[in-house]
Amino acid sequence: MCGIAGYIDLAKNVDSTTLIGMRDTLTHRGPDAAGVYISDDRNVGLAHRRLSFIDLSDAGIQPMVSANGRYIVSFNGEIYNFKQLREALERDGYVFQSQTDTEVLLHGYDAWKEQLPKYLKGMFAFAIYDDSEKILFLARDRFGIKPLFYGHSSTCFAFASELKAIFSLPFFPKKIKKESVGKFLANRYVPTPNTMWENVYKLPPAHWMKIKTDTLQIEEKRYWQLVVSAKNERKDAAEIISQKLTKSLEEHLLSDVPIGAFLSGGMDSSALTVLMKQLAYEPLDFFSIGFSGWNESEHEYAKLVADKLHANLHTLLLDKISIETVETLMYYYDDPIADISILPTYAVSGIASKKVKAVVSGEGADESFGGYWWQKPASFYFSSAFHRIKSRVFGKSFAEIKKHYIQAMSMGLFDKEELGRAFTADWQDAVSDDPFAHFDRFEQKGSSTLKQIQFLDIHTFMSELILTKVDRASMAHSLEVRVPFLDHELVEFLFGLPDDSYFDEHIQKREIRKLLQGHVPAIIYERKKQGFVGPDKFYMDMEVYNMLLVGNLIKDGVIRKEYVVDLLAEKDHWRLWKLFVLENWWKIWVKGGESK
Amino acid sequence: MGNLNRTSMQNIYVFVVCGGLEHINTLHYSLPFFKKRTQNPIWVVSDSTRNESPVVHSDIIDVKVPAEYDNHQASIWLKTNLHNLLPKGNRYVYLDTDILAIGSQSDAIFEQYIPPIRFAADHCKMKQFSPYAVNCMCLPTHTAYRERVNALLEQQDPLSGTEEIFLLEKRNELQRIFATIKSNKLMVLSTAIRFFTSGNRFMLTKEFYFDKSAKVWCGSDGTPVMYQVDMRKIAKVAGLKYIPIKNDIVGKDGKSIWVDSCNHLAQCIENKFQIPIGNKNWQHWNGGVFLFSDESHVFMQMWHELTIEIFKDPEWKTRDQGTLIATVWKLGLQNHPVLDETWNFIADYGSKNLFLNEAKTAITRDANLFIHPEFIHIYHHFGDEKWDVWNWAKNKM
Repeated sequence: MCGIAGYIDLAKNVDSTTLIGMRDTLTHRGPDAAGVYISDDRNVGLAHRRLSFIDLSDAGIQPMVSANGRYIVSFNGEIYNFKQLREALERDGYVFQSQTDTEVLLHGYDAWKEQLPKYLKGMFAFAIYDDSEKILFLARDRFGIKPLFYGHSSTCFAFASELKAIFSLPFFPKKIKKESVGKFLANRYVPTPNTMWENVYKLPPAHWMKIKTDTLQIEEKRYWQLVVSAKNERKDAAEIISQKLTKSLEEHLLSDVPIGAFLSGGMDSSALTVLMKQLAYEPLDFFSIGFSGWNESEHEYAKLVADKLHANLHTLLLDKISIETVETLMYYYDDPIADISILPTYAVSGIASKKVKAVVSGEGADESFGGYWWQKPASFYFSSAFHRIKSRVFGKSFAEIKKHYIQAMSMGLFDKEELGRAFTADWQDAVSDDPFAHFDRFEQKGSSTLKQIQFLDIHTFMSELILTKVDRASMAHSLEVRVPFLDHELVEFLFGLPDDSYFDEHIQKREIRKLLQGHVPAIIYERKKQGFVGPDKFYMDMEVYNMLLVGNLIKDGVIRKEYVVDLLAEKDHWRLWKLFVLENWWKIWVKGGESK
Repeated sequence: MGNLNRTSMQNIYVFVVCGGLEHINTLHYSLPFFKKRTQNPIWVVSDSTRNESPVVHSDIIDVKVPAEYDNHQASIWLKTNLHNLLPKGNRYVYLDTDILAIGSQSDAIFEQYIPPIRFAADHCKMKQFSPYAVNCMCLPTHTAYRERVNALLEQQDPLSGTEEIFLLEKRNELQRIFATIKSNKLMVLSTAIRFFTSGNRFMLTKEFYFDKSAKVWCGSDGTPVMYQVDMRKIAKVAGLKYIPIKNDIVGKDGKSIWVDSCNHLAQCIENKFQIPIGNKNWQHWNGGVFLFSDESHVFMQMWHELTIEIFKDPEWKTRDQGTLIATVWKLGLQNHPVLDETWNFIADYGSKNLFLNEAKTAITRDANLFIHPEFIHIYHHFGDEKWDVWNWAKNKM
């Protein structure tokens, strides 16, 4: 839920109209209510747009100020253990004015200061201003489900749920970071903490940040780390997984308004819907996307599940990529990503938002349970028999795993050489020595190959691409997506299990399969996994990509025209798709509508 | 369970008309285009006490505008004040009266809403728009320059003032050929070589040749199309300066006399409202079509208040677009996405680049991109049956 923003300005007073303008760039994230707070010394402004679920009364309006006026919070997300935390705080004498999880943050910060985030269970990004200590405290959830950007100049610090709010500040410097443009093409996202802009960053997941509001001195710290081990007992694993997932779903369904579910017809979303049924949740409204004229379209499978569970299924059939939609999407994805499923995710969010305010969705299951093809040992490519044998005997080195992972992630590889060909001479600064260097940060020495890849998936593919995709596509429609598989206790448990206790190369996501057996038709868990992307032909329409030839990337001397001509001649649709996304992003965020 | 009020929202079209008969007649012409294409309500907001003729429509919201405003100001007052005049809880599309619905998917515009508000881009940029928004001297000075130069041009090229359609088309075609050649250095070179090596008659294309002795461009049948003019001489006689490298005449301000662009609007916004415009040639928004809802209240209230402030300021012309720019920049929405041209295709009679495709199914102002508009915005010459674009739009009815 919600959009948060704010800024500190040491050069001049925080201006309420500017703050309101900043806030209202995030209206899509929270259309239900809005508020701003400006400190007495007028150095600090916090803003909030609200999408309300719990305590729909005015008591939940933010920024929320503590009774003594010392703490002010602007919060985006859901704290699933807020009742337990509230009880603990009440035992310590704290008095609550509302039923919200937001108020728990206010008192929690007073009680625990920077220890607060590690006690929280849920998805969140928040800012708390301590008016006595003159400290602004920012924190982001463990997996990066909710976004949090910040930027600074010598006299200003700004933060927000989306970059557009930061760049609404007329005095905020805006300079493109060339290296990030190259990394975007390589990875389909700009690796955290960087963004496309100089001096503007993403707060990494599981981190907090403290800013002294009188000096802009910054301190940043990780508060949680996923530990890879094999210490958990395997004999009760299945039962514990089922219990933890069910409990997580129960917590995620807590709301004062009805919650639906995304149902792709795959195993993960089907498992959630089965559990919803078992929890006797009513009404059961599920949302699915299909692709007309495509035999493999999953909406038919979604229908099988919905029929079996006697649920209402709302389906939308897509038939082509709309240029206009990609342009609109790049407004929401102001920190751009080039995942191809942004289109169907945006579309399914659209239909869901007509009916409900929030849905549960299956993100995180593939990463945690080993559901991706690239996690399977058999998927590894070796350049020679020697390397294959060496890896069998000695295991795979991180370098080998990284090489494999880069190939798996690429979808039209832009390595150093390819980037060198794509960019003009003036833009060769965009080509870094290793555009995939951020993977190195997630090396887990001593872990199995499977766990190493899962660890990479959790920290890069999921956190940077999947969760960003879901947050922006859903928030564009003022819809909240909740992800019960990303209960951190469940993920911690899975990462503490021996591989073979939850992973079988020949049985897709064995533990989830067990949950489904007997509740949905067998074809749901016996068929091959399919991504939520639609047919490749959607992305192979060369006519759409022809616009690159008259686009701004070429006009502005970023990408070589000859390079695009070659890609078009070769019908290299994946690389063209990435350039197409970049072109649309560039049009809005660099050109600012100039090309219209 | 809380009340989820997401399905009760209505989509509603809104027109504003106030005062002059011309505007009311324009509305009466436009309304049937919309009625034919939508089941959504169409509301007209007006001040009936000011209207020279009654507005004929079923859903009229009659609002008394303060007497201190003239009719032009009153209609702007109503338009920028719609958020206070209309019921809450709906999504609205505001439309100028000179907009016609000519597509088959008009209602899809409601799906284009992106909060807090959404407009379309204008057909020119801010610098070009500037002298039409504020009372700087750029426009009258340049108009006077142009009148002087045009009179001299007509002496040298008697065909320059022609209104004969066939001849105008020929002249435009010739100009397009010139532009194409200029855009390509190789073509410039090869054309120059051909020109200097040819005899008295230089064949530019199959359709046009240049008669060197008579100094006239002719059609293939020998009809004069355009006389060669001596721009240097014209500039000198007019008291202006000729820039050979650009083949252009500049005024005393050093700017081309054919372009009225200036920075005065950006300066006026900064001086009057203390709002800096980061990009002085920003692609500003057009006020002809916009989508708004309850979420637009802050934006519209500021727009309304700034607009009222300029009504009595002699530096400003009575328009709402300059204050629209000020509002956008004040609220940091300069990157907010604009509606595609489909939803507000501005057909400006004065634009030389505006033309229909051969099949007359689409229109363009930039030969690269033909548009199938849902809404066409007729700038000037509304109802001019000599104008092919008007006839095309009218036939869509």
